[in-house]
Amino acid sequence: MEQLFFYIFALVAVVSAVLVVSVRNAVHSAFYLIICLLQVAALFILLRSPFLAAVQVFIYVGAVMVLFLFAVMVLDIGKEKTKEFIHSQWLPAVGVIIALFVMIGYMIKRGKLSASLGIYNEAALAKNTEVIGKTLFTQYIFPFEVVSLLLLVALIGAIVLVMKDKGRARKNNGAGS
Amino acid sequence: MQMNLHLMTPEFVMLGTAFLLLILELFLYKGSRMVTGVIGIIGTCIAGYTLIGAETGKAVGGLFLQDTVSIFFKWLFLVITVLILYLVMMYEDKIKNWRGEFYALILFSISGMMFLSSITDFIGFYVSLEFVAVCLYVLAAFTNDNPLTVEAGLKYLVTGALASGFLVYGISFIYGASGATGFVEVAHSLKSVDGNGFLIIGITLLVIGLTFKISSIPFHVWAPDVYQGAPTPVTALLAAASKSAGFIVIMRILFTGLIGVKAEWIILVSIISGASLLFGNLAAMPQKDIKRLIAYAGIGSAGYLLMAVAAASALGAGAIMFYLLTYVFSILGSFIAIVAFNNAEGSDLIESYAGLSRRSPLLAATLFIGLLSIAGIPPLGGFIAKFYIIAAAVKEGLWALAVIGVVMAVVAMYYFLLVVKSMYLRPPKNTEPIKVDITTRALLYFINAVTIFLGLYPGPITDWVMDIAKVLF
Repeated sequence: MEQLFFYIFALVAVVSAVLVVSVRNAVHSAFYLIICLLQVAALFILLRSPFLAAVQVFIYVGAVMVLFLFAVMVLDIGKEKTKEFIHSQWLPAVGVIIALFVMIGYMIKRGKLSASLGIYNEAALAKNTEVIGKTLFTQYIFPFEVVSLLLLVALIGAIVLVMKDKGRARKNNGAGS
Repeated sequence: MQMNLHLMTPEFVMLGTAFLLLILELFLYKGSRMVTGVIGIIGTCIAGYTLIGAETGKAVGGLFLQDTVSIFFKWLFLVITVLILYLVMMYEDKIKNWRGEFYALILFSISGMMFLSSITDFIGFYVSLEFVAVCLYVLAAFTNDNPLTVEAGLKYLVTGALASGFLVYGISFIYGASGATGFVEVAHSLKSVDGNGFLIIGITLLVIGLTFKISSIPFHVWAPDVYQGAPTPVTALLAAASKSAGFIVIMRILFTGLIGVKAEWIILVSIISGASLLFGNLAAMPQKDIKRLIAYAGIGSAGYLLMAVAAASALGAGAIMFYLLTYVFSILGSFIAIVAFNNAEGSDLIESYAGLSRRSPLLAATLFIGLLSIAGIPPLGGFIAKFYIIAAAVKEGLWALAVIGVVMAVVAMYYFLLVVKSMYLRPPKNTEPIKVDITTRALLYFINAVTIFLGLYPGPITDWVMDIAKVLF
């Protein structure tokens, strides 16, 4: 039963991911991306990680996609000509993808791709969110704090890069009127 | 859990200075830009003071490790900071839409690099690396009224994001294979794993992702354009600090975490090293712009340093540290001379350096010493550094790499001597002498003295560095 659902979710995820890069309309592309991300969230639930699934829906499907759609609307990207985006690189790219596919398939067939569950056994997975919360604020407090610095710097950087000089902005306005 | 926050005092001082500068910028009027730079230098010196006689140990539950190697790198980063803040003070008139955040972002990025020199865990590593990267993305695109700079910022961001994807994907595979994120724990659990496919994929992606920071093949494409387009102090920061930070994390991950499976990554690192040596040095030959020349030479330098990584021995690690020490001084001296020249002449083209020896003997001598030290000519520091790296490679039987390294050192002499020829033998178009103020003079004398000292009397320093490097194994 679980396997059946896995195949359904995986198939929809792959198909929608292919559609993301192949449809011409940017808004449609964004919607296919939403479908793809929702399927990945479903896969996380199958892997007994409800927290990751919830985060995936909140952050990617919610926040990031809203930003994408905003950007698409503000920039007014209509139907783009596909030709412009398919460069002469497609042939080597297809070659690399096929090579990678064959390589990974070979490794799976030989049973080289396997990993143990580690310390996260069924009992720990049952209390997934609780475990994550506890480790995040005890063992991993250092990366957690560095992330806050990262966000601060990203904020400062975004403002610094887009802010216009007061003097210059006034001059530009004056020239315009 | 042991917090031991006192071990992180230097980082806290740097972060505190950065915050102070952010707030001060609001209250200072435009004419007093210098003040923020001076405060930044004072803050860095205080951080250096707190680092004197720093204890070793672990902090924040073992995710932050202060050992002699991290202390060495923190000293290196602080020296770089002082020189780069000075460089910014020389350069800031060039930036039209100047903002005080420039200083703050440099200090933030340096504190991130200081975190990187102390990481013991993949999660802390990735987060700190992104912290540094975000600062550098903003800095590279800072003067966004210049199209070249915008191009530089965009290229840096896009390649950086791609490399970061490789990195985190590789880390997730290594986690999958080992079930741990701490380097020591990974090393411990890998003892019982053999020939796991996940591990090989993970190591490959991780090493490739790491090449972005050190600007070696395959993530080298950004280097020439970014070095040329970014504001020169940022170029210096990328060349000196970002590269050093890249190598300390490579040493920590590969030597501490993955030493048990070194057979898997030595081949990969050797190939990357050889390719970078060949590409960087050969592509540097036809360059016309001195910053692009240094970028290509930097790809070559990354190749040398990776050769020492491939040696995977304490001798190699010590050689990396000594190379970075000489490299930092040579390259920052060169960049100070380049900025001083650019302030007078407004050009970075090699041909405009014609006759510099007659216009300003000190600037010409600094570039002479700096560039030839990077090329590896005795008796300068860079020669001893290259010598140790090649010795480490030969000792581990990496003959092919060592031969490429020696041949490419000759090529490097060729293209750096072209600059020297332009400076010393060509007649100047404009004979007006270039004025260099007294502090810059003093600083350049000091840097040149260090480079020559490291070449003439390296004994105590190399002994010390080789001794420190044993901690990593």
